[in-house]
Amino acid sequence: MTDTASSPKPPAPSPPLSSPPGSSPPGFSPPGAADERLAQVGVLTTILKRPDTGAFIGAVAVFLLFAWTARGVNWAGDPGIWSTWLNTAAYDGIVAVPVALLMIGGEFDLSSGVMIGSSGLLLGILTTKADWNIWPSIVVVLLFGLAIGFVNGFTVVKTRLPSFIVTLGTFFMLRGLNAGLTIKITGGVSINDIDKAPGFDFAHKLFASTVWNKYGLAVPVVWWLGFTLVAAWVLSRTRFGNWIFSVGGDPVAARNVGVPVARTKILLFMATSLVASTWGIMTAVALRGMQSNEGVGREFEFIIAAVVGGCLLTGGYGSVLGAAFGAMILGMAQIGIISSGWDSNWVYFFEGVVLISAVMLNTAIRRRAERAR
Amino acid sequence: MSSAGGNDAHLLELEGVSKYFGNVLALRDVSLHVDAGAVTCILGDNGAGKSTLIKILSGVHHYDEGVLRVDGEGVRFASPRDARHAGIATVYQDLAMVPLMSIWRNFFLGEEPVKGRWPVSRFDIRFAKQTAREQMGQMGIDVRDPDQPVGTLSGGERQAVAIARAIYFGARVLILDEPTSALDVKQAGVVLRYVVRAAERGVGVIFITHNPHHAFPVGDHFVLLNRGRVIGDHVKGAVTRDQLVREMAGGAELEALTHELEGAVDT
Amino acid sequence: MSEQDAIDTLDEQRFSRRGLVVKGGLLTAGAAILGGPAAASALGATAATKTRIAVVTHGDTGSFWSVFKKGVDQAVSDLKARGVSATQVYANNDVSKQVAGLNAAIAAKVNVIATSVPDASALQDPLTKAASKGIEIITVNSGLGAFDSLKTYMCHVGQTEDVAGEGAGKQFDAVGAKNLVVLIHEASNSGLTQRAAGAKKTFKGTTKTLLIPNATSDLPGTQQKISAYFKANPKTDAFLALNPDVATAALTAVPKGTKVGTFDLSPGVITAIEGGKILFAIDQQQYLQGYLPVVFAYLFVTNLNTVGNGAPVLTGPGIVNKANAARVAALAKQGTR
Repeated sequence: MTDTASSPKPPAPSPPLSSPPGSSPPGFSPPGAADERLAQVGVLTTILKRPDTGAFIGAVAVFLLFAWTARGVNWAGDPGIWSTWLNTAAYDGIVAVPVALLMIGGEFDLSSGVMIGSSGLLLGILTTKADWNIWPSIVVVLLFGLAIGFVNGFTVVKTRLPSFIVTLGTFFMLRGLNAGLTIKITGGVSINDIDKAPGFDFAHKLFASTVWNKYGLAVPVVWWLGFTLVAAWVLSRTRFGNWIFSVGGDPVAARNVGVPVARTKILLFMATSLVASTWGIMTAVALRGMQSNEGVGREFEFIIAAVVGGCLLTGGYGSVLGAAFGAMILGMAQIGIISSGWDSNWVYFFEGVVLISAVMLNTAIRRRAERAR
Repeated sequence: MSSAGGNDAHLLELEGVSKYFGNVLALRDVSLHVDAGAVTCILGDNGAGKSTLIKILSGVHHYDEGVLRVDGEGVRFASPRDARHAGIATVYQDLAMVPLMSIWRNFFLGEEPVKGRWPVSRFDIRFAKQTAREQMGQMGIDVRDPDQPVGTLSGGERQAVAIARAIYFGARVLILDEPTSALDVKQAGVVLRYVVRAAERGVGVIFITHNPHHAFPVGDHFVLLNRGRVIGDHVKGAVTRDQLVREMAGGAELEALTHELEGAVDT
Repeated sequence: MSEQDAIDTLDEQRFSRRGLVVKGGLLTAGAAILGGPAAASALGATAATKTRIAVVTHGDTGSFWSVFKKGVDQAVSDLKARGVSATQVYANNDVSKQVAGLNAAIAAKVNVIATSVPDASALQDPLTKAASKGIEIITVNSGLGAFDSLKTYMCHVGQTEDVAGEGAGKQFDAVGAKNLVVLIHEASNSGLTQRAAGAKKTFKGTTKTLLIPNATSDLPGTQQKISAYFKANPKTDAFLALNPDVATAALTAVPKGTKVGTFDLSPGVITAIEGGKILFAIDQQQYLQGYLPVVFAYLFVTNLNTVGNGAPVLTGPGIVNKANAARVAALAKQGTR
């Protein structure tokens, strides 16, 4: 009895066996009949099955609400007002995109808000203290974003601690750095005069200009749209997207079938920090400076946008498009309340109502869609 | 349903295999085989060594003594990947299915078909949906809506997806780890049909269970495991169901217990 | 050598440790020769008596409080050789953190607590406890009149919010504005509401307030909201910010021709004043609010000196406008104004 360790030859996967005529297993109808039964599932049910339907309905409802209460400023028809809330939505929407992907992948990043401030401050330090041209500074800031994201992801994967905790730690560290390091380097806690850096003009054009001057639609809206479309495509139409769903839905099962769970999660964390960094750059360029408080607390707005958009907190299910609608709802709420002349103390209350209603609506729709089979 | 002829090499064979964990002997001198198109049932209670056996067959553990042969050639799997490449697929009890994902997504998870080149290579969804539906059809299930999340399927249907997936991706040997244990009677019956269907498609099935009532109808070959040893090895037709039950339950012990109980009732 | 002269010389030689030790020795010797036993023991006690002060505020890491902190740091540095040490807590608008800081100071048995008062009822308990333990209390920045009744209350160092607000209102009046909006950037800060109320009192036109909670952590969003407000209230022609970062951000959001005023300085604000974009800044000189309490604490602990006689030590309102902006600019760059 020899133990020859021959390397097993991988056989070719068996070709899909088409059922030869006459030998169909009982209960299975030929393809033509099945197609016709598929159509009966219904267009309405297909739409209801989508995770973003609830958010879309919510966005329309909120829009109509303010169309009435803010009719004094022509909420429904003035492109200037549209631009205002679209701009505000973009400020949440841009970072909500990777936050949604990360949530679908089953993780949270509580450092995504403060990362905005850190990135802007870093850009400011490089351009105003080290006197760099703005473009290499931007590259360094983006690399910084990738590095922090890697640290977050690697720590979560290696220690198996909840990402909530790990990124909370990152949040505190960055927050301390924002204040402490900045004071040490500049003597103050805000960096100004970024616009004096060489290369600024084009940076401003790319990151902070207005695309529709007449109505004030700002270029971040275009970035928001771009990020959303790319991420939605990745999520629903690529292999990596399939992995994201599996890693959030059941990481054990995913690993068992060969999905690179650790790599997927780390990439998701890196994407989140990278986009937060990008938004930090965009903010710093727009404000021509950055003060160290920026971004703190925004991480929850991104999470709200994702949850309103249909992403499950437990992971494995959701939509990037939905997060975009969620951001729209937040933007409309913040501007609509002011435009309607309400006491802005009600903003928080309104956001809370929206959050709960949206989640209830999403759950109800999903249950109904499942029963309609 | 052909039994292996003496001259043909078995599809998968264990001969005299033993496995130690430190000082503990998990498997001792185990010999069994499975042939293409046949179902070998491995019966045993908890602690009999079934899970160690599965892990050796699927490449998770290395065996210490004996030989494992695929198509007559001795092999040593370095990892589960090797076992998969050799055509040995294991369907564990948790099925490795993600409940929230659709049937077609689960079917191709980890082996997604792609079109195009990086960075715009896309998941060939149309192919995936079509194929998933076809393959489920091969198992006798008409999937009306491949977008249906796997979590909404019945336990039996989920097993069917797992089995269909394994076969599609080239399994020549299918190891099913307690597929009926968590199901009600009706669903269990449905799964047994799939087991037969799989064998009919030319796959060698190793059906592991602690329930001889499930094993009996579908097995071509029955191997009984107890405390790491093979205590019984029967070909279909050479054993009755009752015999299997008795052997499994440790025959003599059950009789003694029955007598005791009857005695207690009498008094 | 009089006591005053001694201190002046010390100031000059501030950075010379050796100089301090030498002068300290001379001082003691000089006092022993000149003064009576009381003076001798007081000044002799200088080297040995430690003044421990806890500075506990609701401040954050923004540009306003960093100037305040510079004041505290400088005072401690100036008086370190005289036995003065300080612990500082900046609670970032979290009242419970501030209460915790106060309790820690009480447990550490400091001599003096200097605290800001964003919420008087929340701080009632810890401050009463501090008073009962004989710890002196100075209120800074906010809280005038809130704790006068406490036995060990010393004085208030700050700008009275309502008077400051009144100053702002008058400024807008002087340029003929008719409709004012005051942007309140923190949700639970009574000082800010007092400023707005003060402005409303003296401003002859209509005054409205706009609350944008946590405006400073999302400045781009704040710009959009300001823009929305002006669209909804197009007659508004005057804008008062209560924070310098909000003011500079608002400049791009308010319609052309809006008169903009702000509280507190920053390099951006000063540049804008010089450029005519911001009309005025109400400077409450928070550097003094950090510096003076340390000095008062030291003087009280070592010499039982009291200040104010029940009236607040006012650090503002100082009006910074185009006329004096240039001179203030250089100092603001240092972070001390």
